Amino acid sequence: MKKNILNWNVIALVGLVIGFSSCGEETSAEKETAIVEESDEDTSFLDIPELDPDMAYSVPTPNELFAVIKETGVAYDGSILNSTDNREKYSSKKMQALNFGVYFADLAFASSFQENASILSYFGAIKVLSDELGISNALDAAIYEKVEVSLQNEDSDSLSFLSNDTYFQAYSYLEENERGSTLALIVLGGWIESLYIMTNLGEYEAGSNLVARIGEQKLTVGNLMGFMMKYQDDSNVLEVMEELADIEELFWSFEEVEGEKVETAQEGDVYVLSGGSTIIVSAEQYEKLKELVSELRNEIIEGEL
Amino acid sequence: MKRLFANLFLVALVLAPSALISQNCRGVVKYCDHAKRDGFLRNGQSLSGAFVQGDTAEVTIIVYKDMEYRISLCSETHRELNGKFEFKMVEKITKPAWEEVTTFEMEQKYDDYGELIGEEKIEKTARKRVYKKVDVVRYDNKKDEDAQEFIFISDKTRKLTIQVFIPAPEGAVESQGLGAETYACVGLLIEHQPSLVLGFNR
Repeated sequence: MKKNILNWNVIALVGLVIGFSSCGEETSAEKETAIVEESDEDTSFLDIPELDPDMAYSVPTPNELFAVIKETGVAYDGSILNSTDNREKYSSKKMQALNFGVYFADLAFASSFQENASILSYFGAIKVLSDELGISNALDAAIYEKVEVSLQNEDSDSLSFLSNDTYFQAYSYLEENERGSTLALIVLGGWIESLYIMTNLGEYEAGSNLVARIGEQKLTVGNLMGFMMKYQDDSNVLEVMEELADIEELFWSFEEVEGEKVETAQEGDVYVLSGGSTIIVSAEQYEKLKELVSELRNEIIEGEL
Repeated sequence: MKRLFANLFLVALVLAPSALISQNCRGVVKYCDHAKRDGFLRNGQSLSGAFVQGDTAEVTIIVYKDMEYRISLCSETHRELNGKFEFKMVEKITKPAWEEVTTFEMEQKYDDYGELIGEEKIEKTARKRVYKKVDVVRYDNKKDEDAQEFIFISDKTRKLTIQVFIPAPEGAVESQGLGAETYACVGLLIEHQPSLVLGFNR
């Protein structure tokens, strides 16, 4: 099967032409050799996915995640979110992008639970950071009026829609304007904050819905790394990927237990996918994850990364 | 060196139109029909891009338990493709299997007096339980009357790969080389909404 993404063809063709040119010249053959540092550490017990450079990897949005988290029966806790007062600490583009993602996750969490006061406050912080990042054009100019109207009408569906659509618009704008590295930092900031919120919503309880949702982030971390790989030539992206390494490795140690037979059934116009494996998280892994995520998240919100 | 620059210039000439297409294709997913009236929200995992007609593109997404998803495709630049996309949804599933492993051992041979006379290579076969990742096709629109939208829910959070075949232009001849390839801007729209009733009873 042929897989194609235009950019890969472009790179291959440039490589080919440079190759032909070199053949015609009498130059000393200076071969570039990729140096891969080998670690003595045994990683054979880790379930590390293969990342295909030709594949596009997508990462779910915080809005989608918190809509699911709300159904686990957890209660809203605004005290664990990043204070909008911290916004002034973010002077570099790197910290602005990371915390843009953090505030979006906080907004998604507040929107899911219809916490009106927080919603307006986080929309405000996002607006200021979008100006500083030069992406305010991406956002609907009338977004704040729409949010206020929705808040007055206590229209939670509309608030969820506005929160989700604002993220979608910012995401599309950055993609269209080839600012993938900024996008990568935003996505990472949003994911770390989401993970921080989840791990601070309750204590470890084997088999609970919340712990199951946290364990499932093992699937997302693979896609997140696959997505960020595209932009790792950017030093800011590479730095945060390095910071993420311990968390990534911890996820790979989560056990996957085979479940019932996989089936796809049709019910009316909707298909139902069932079966497959379940990810298991131990109490020790949960506590370790909580610690690692908290460490990285605090560096991000304090503007110290 | 002159040759290198000359060749790079030629490459630039060849690539300029395709690079332009690539850039212009960004964000085309916003032209796809959005099922807002049915309660769906546009999902950030949607994708836009320039793709070679006649080839297959792949994207890996995460779908959550208790969430309903809608997948659809569109092309703003090549509207004749709309309604003709072929796509599959594939999941990597771990399946158990038995594997036969053959090993060789050297066995010492003795004569009737107990004297060592040499070694013999003995073949031994053992069965081992192994777990392999295999691709399972969860949905194929060709088996669903070429449906151009796919709505589904899942009982678990999963990683799925969407394979999209971009139809070739009519009358196109295969293997004409890169210069003969035509590109189409394609948007893969993913939408989501909390499933109406948990437990899959709609």
